[in-house]
Formats: sequence, structure tokens, C-alpha cells
Amino acid sequence: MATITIDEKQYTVEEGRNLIDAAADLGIDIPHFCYHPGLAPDGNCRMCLTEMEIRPGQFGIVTSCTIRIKDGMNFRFNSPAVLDNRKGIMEFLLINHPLDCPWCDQAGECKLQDHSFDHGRGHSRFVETKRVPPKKDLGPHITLYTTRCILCQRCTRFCDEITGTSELGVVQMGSKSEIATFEDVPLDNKMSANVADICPVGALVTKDFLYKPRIWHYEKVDTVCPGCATGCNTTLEILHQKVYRTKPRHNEEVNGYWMCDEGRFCYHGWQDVDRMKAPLKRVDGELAQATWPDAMDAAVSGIQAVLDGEGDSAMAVIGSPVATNEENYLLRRLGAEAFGSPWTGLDRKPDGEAWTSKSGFHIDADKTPNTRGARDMLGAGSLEDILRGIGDGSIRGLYVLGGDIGRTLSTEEAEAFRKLEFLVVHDVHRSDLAELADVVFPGTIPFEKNGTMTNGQGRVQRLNPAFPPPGGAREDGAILRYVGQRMGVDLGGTDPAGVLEEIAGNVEGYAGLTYDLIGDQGAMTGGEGPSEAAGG
Amino acid sequence: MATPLEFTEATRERAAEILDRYPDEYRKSAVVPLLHLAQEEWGYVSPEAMACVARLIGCSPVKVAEIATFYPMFNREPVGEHVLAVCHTLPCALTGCGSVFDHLSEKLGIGLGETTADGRFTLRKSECLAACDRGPVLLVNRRLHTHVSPAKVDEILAELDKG
Repeated sequence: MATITIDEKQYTVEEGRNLIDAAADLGIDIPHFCYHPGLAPDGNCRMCLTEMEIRPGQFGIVTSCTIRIKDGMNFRFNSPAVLDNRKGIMEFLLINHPLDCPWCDQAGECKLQDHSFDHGRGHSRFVETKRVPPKKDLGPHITLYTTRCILCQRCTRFCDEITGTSELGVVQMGSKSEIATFEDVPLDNKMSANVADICPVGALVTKDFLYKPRIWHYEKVDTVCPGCATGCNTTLEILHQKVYRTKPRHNEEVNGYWMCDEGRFCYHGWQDVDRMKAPLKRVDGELAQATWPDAMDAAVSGIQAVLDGEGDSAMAVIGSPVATNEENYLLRRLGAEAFGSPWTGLDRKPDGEAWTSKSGFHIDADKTPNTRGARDMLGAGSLEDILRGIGDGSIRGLYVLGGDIGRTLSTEEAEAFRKLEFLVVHDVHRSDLAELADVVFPGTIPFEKNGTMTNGQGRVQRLNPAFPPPGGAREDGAILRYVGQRMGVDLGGTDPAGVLEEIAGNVEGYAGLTYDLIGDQGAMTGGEGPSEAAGG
Repeated sequence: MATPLEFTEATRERAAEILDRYPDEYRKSAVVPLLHLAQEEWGYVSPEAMACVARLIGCSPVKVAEIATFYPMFNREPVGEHVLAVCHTLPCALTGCGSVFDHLSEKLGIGLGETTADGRFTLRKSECLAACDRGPVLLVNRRLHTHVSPAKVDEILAELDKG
């Protein structure tokens, strides 16, 4: 630790920490544009200038972002020289800026706007004509409003330091300088949309969020990306029960400050799907809409008929890697206690592409968010075991937690499921799995779930529901409890924190985990499992 | 982008010599001398030439474009045999660079940034050439002429005509 002086008051801060971060720890905001905690300091925007005692009694102007804290340092954050410098920098930065806040998408979350308001001089002395370079299409996700750019180079440094793809540079000289791509090499990498998040002004915008409602209208919900087993921490921005934007939420242990483009935009797939809003049951060979009590009657009597038939343990359950730990845990209990079945399987989607960035950000090959957690909850059973069990006739009925919109059945899976006497499915749309079922319960997509998931590293993280399920769709945990209740088994209360408590008592590696402990940054399971996935 | 450009065998050898001056981890430092080499080879630095340099030093082409577009001595369009650049910063303006430029323009029959039809001359304006006490100054290819007047322009052009 080091003792430093700021405006004649003493503070104790971490030695070696960057001055902007150290001041932020103390609740002091040093205005800045080019510095970003996820990138190396660059010192180019000059907004973070403060005064530092460079010789006894003599102060000099320094860039805070490049100062590393040492014991005894003495700073002035509010001297006339500092305040005057900021005013000057703001005036320079706004020379060619169009001041088009009324129609700029960044308004409300714009550092240029905020700092101009707090530190600017309110009017410009620049009487010449402003440059008006045209906007540029940089790549599949990003547009550059060239006029608004202040050349802080966060974006170019992101592409150099984080992705290592270096598509962006600053071309030309002086007042003609511009962010640019080279000829036919667009800004097209797996993390390209992060540049819009870190752009402190309205220059880089995602095409996805262009001309959407103003940012202050949204409700923000912290959750976890359902795109892969990395489990990037995210914040959803919601209006009228729709996601409008996903932004990465800082978690040093998982995703840093970033997320991949596929994960960022995957909300379209989830919310554009034609959602099932009422239960379905098979009548004369056709699936037809049913009321909840009707569908529940059909499910329970169908399951009972299988259980009453010949042989032992004729019902099996298949858990879902897109469902929460709590849902999978309740499914296992339903299987064991209501069906008396030792058969549990876990759906496994075919692997996609894995990728690790220059900085170590990892996109997992497993394109489901909770394979590890579901496996922990359900035990070791695999989908193949279940298919074999159906094949040799020992399994005659099946209860499946579905809900993964990207999942399609293989021919052999479909063939096996057709052999079943009775199939109950939770799903979110009429998937090819749902089409084979005798009863379908409309469940939830990940954005509607309340519970925890365990990422590939073994980190248990919380999902918060962004909005309730549509129409007659219900939370999957509640459906499982209802089925249990109808079959004489009490699966406990509806609070996911309570279920997690039960999991902590019963599932290996989860001892001691509570909702409070998990918090908004997650908590590791005890045993490092054999999972091949790693975050970063 | 058009088909990739490659240096000729002889230029490649010179490029290798230049690259040898830098430690492997600082290969990128060779960007300016290699751009000069490219300009010598093709007369100007096209995007294809930038890409060629980028391949040699092992970096993304936009990083070469940053340098090539920053320095005005790199021509990014084809130019004439002789490039004439009249300094138009304040001291040269006060000492009469306007009449020098106008005289050149009239004599050659071309405007700012243009090249004569026979491909011999390109006329430009330049920022400060660091000889403010001897203005107006005119840069002819790589040679700086000081205290230039319309009469001296005629002499310079005559000399260039002699070759």
C-alpha cells in the first residue's frame, strides 16, 4: 500500500495502481477518454491531465492514466491549471465534433457529453468551417460516424491488444486523421462489436442498436450469456418485454470487459422464435392446444400408465444444458422420487467452433451455457445411454427438459423417440422434439430464467429474469413441481435460492454455495471437474 | 483490391538488407525505408504496395497505411517525373510564394495536384520545409531551392529540361 496526497488530503491506495483506477477506488472521478481498464494506457486524449509534485514544491502537468502509484506522491486534481487544461482539451476535442446529440445514438451514455457538461467551457471560439467526413461502414456489425470521433484509439488498441486482428488504424495526418480499415479488410472478427461499447463517444455504433429507443428508457437486468459454456456476464437492456441490447458486464475471472459477437446478438434468435404460449396434448394423433389442467392430467396419466406397465424403471428423464441448475436438480428429483427411475440423461448439442483471442478471451466449443452444471445436477448419465435404453425396450416413457432453440434431432434420436409409449417435453417452440411428444409444456428461454448456471470453468453464476414468460408459458421449475405434486411428491418451494440451498446440501462440489455468496460475480464449485472448457 | 504486388528480385534483396538492420521483434521499424523502396519501384505507394510492405514486415496492412498516409513524401497517386512542391506556410507566403506558385502553374499549364499531359511535372503545395529564413522555398524532387522567384523558376525548369 502507498500513502498519497490528493488536494492536500491523505489517502492510502494500492501501490503500482494506475492513478485513474486508484482515484476511482476512492470515489474520485478523473475525466478521461482514451484510458480503458481493459486496455494498456495510451495517454493520447489528454483529458486526464492532473498536477503532480515533480520536485519539492513544484507541480507539473501529467497524464493520470500513465502514472503508477508510489508512496509519497502528491497530486492536485482541482487546481486552476488542471481545470483550465480540461476546458482547453474539451474545446479542442469539440472543434470538428458535429454536436449532433439530438440524433446521436450515444446520447445519454456519452463521455463527450458528460465531460462537456462537467468540464467544458460551454461555447467554442472556433469560427472556421467544421470538417464533415462521411460515415463509414467498417464491417458486418459496426458503422463509424467519422465526424463524432475524437481519435482516442480505444478501438484500434482493442483490435491490437485483445483480438490481435489489427483491422483498425488511424490514417492521414493532423485534422484529417480518421479511424479506418484497409481497402478490402473489414472490421470482421469474433469480438468486433466490443469496439462500440468502449467507444466513449457516438462514433462507433453497432448496426444492431442504431436508431433504437433512447438508452434511458431501458430497464437493465444482469444475467449470463446463454451462447456458450464460457458464460460471459452480461447486462440486458429491456423495454416492453423485449431485449434491445446485450452488453458485457465486467468479470475478471470469466470475460473481462468483453463478449463475443455471436453471444451479444444471440438474443435475436431466442426472442424471434415463434413461442409456444399454451400446453399441447396429443388428441387423435395430432398435437392440440390444451388447458394447463387438461395437459397436466394427460401427462400424469400417461406417465402412470408407463410406470404401471411391465418391467422396472420404465420412465427416464433427460436434462437440459440450457436449463438452470435448479431446474435440472428438480428434474432429477422428479425422476428419482416420482418415477422411481435410475435413468437420467443430459442432452448434448454437437460442438461448434472454439476460439481464443490474443488476450485469452475464450469462446467455448460447447454452445450451451450449462452443460457442466446440468451434468453435476443429474449425475453422469448420457443421452446415448437413454437412446440405448429405448432401443432395448427398458425405457418406455421419457420426460425431457427441452428449450434449446438451436437443437434439432438427428434421425436416430427421432427414430428412438418415436418408439416411446409416452413422451413429455418442456419446450419454447414447436421444435421437432415437441412434434414427437404426447404432452408439451411451454417453458422459458434463458432470459426468463431465475436461477444459477455453472460455466465450463466450474463457476456458478446467477441468471436474473428479464421478463416473465409469454402467455401461458410457465417457469420450468414450477411445471416440474406441479407434476411432482400431482404424483404425490413434494419438490419444495418455488424460490431458486431455496433450491440452491438444497443443492448445496446434496450435490458434490456445491457445498457452501448460497445466492449471497454467488452474488453478481459468481463463485467456484469446490472440485475442479474434468471439463475441457476454460474461460478467459 | 487489385492483384497483389511483389518487389522485383533486386528490390527484394535491398529490402532484406534493410530488414537486417532491425532486430526481429522490431521488424515493423523498417516500414518507412521499405515504403521509400516501394515508391522507388512503382513511383507511388498504392494500397497494393502497402500490402506488399505489410507482408514483408509481418503486420496488418492498415498499420502500413497509417504511416504511408501520414507522411506527405509518400505519393499515393501516380506522379510525374519531377514533383514540384511550393511551400505555402506563413513565412513563405509573406515572401511571395503565391507568385511562385502562380508562375509555375501558368508555365506548366496545370493546377494544384495535377500532372502535365507529358507526365513530366506534378505541381503541389507543401507545409513548412524548415527553411523559413530563405523563403519562398521550392522542393524539386528531393532538392530544396531557396529564395525562389518567378525568374528563378524559369532557370530551374530550364535546367530540368536539359535533364
